[in-house]
Amino acid sequence: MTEQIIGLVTGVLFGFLLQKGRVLRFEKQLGAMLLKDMTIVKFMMSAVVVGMVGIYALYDLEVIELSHKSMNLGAVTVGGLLFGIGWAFAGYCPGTAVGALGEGRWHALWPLLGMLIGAAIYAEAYPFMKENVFLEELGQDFIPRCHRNSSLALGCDIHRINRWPVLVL
Amino acid sequence: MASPDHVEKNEYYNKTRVKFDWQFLLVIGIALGALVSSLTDKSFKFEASPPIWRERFGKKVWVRAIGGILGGIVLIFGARLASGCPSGHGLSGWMQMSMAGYVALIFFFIGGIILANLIYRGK
Repeated sequence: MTEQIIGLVTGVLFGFLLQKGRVLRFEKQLGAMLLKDMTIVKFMMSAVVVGMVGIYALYDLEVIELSHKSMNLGAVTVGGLLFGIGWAFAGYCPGTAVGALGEGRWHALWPLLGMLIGAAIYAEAYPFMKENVFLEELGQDFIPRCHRNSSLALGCDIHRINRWPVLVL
Repeated sequence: MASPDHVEKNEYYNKTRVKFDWQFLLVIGIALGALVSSLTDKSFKFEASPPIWRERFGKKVWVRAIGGILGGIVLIFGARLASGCPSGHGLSGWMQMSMAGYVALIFFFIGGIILANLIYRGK
């Protein structure tokens, strides 16, 4: 149960900050895709830079383990393009659609409804996609990352050089 | 399609179990957080369709409904296939320097930029 509560609290904070950053807006999302309004891009990149420092600090202190997705070139590229096409129409990605609903933009209900339908369709299509779209699983370590006790010292060093000055700035 | 037996046999649901976990509550939390934030700084607003959508497609709610639903279907199909969205791949993946995350976010934007420009540019 503790895990669920942490999830809820994290969600509330995430939603609060997304709203304060004004990135839940349809206009902001389309603005990024039309390359007219870079609010979202800046928001994402700042979050990535700050989060990267925090995550790798905790990782180096052995408090957390990394948890991210495995690389499958076929699935990620085809899925990515499809996502982008749907995103331009819907105007929201999944997280921001829920958030937009929270700030009263109830037209975000339509994309959310579509997502439930789409998820059901995907579950039906999964065997076909696995057969025809998925390529070889490349795992998570396609790029040399900074592992504790890593033999990939170069990737590790580049990473260390890059991330700590950012914290100072 | 919604019968328990059918779901039980489905390969995807056997791989990815549907459960009431922290991730589900995180999603609920996003709406709550946005609600609190927008109510306290008075940016909360009921809106039937987004302004730039109205300029392009008019203010009929059912047109927005169809566009939104179709968009939602395609985007979640893509997100399932790519196994993530701009939060999972973009934020979380980029922070952890995940190769899949870098490629996915770039392809989200390639798809989005092409289509957004086809729909809205020069209208």
